[in-house]
Amino acid sequence: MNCKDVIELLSAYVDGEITGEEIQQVDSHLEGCPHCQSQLAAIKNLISMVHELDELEVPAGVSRSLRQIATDKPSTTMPAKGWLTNRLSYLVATGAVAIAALTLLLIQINTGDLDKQEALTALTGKAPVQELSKKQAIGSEEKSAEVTGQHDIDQSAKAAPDGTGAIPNTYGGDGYSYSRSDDSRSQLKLKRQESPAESDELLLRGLPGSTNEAGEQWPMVQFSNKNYDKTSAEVLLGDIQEKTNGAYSVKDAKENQALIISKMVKKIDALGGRGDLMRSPVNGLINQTKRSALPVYMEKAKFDKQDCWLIIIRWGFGSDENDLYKTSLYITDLSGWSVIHYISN
Amino acid sequence: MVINKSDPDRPIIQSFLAGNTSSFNELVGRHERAIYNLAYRMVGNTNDAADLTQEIFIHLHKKLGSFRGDSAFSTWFYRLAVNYSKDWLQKEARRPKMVDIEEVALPNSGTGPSQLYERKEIKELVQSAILSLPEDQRIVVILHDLQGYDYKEIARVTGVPVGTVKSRLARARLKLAEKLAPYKDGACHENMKS
Repeated sequence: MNCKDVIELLSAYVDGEITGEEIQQVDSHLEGCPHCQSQLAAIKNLISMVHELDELEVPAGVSRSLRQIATDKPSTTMPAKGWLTNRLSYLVATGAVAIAALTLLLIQINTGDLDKQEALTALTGKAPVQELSKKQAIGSEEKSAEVTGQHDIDQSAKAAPDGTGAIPNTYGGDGYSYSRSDDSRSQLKLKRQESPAESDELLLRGLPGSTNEAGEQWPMVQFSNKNYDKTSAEVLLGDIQEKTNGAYSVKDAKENQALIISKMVKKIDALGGRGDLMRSPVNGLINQTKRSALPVYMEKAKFDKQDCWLIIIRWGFGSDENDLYKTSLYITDLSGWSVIHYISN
Repeated sequence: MVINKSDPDRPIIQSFLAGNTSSFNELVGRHERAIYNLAYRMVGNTNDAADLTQEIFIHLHKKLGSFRGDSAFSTWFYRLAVNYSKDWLQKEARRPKMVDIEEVALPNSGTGPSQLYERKEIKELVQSAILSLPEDQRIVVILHDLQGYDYKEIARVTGVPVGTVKSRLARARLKLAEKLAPYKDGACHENMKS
């Protein structure tokens, strides 16, 4: 055997995965070859270094979420039973959403709380794309919409801005209630509520108009002259995550997504920006998570001296009562469509 | 469905297929640690590892009904996990990469002939080196050197001949040995020419 042949066998030689004859040949060669002896020592040392790597514990949040999989709604995890069943299910779901959306619109018109733009949006809003995507996942490959959690920058970047500001996915809400007096409420704690808001005295879960004990109003929009870098962006993400931990749930994302986005749009307008131009990009970022998600923070600032938006989204999956326990920060250009940097906790 | 009688996961799967959805959590408990560690070594950061782990188990939940029992469940599941990880990496390659906050310590050649590195830094270097391997080589290193699979088991999981496993592992180790040679014994030998 020459050195080339021996070196190819050294890995299996160390593992005891070569034949007796090969062992003899390798041993014989090694006796007189310092170079191959050195290679053998290097491989043994390398294996030793790899063996030193620690086995990691599964993070508690991950472990918890894995145990939610089996208790998720059947439509999100079980295989489809057939085309017709799913088609009927989709039509029923779509009809229910349409009725709920119309009911919401009538409530908002009656309370005078809806401006023209939102009325148009609510009327033209389509049925939730998520429902259709799930039903279309029948027999599709693994990377269907049912496989949640993808952050596909390409899909976000390809989506064209919607000039009308129409929200691609409008959840009309089922059981949503929002009182006109909420904005005048003062000193609300930002915390989870155990039952739907039925009166002004009940605490809301980070809905527009709520103020926490520190005097912060959520969701939050800021314009600043800060110049972020990767490190300070991570600090921001951690800070916002800490401030909003436990405040939002899957149910909130389903019922109040449109409301929260609209409030953020208004806050951008109040600060002198064009809020309506950010509606579609923010929806695009939310939709690409393919899980329940809500925007909680937006800041117009700079990143590495480039004008940008910092958009923080909380997201998660599981039952309605599950926290949106993940937090992601998207740093985009001023259009909101091109992602410059992304980090997630 | 034929079930391998010596397969310890057999009763759990039978229970799940009989309609006991909570049995799935038993499977989670048995395999989450190995899958999370596989995911982490494949992607190199805890955020992506968490996402990938969750998606693998969601995928398992969808596909469990198709398990025929002609191999051990763990072999079938790990093959599913490995293939899913490879697809995930290819898709994620388009995304900006996230890195753990703890950066890998790189040698500064201007500091002298040798420099002692802490064990933690060496481990980060090793992980970084593993991440630099092509996916197929990375997988065999993880399965053999970290998770203790033998060549035959790796061949069953990856769906390639034992000879291919052998050559992939050999090439991977030679590459790793070359990359990590300056840091053997916890000291940087970069400036010590032989």
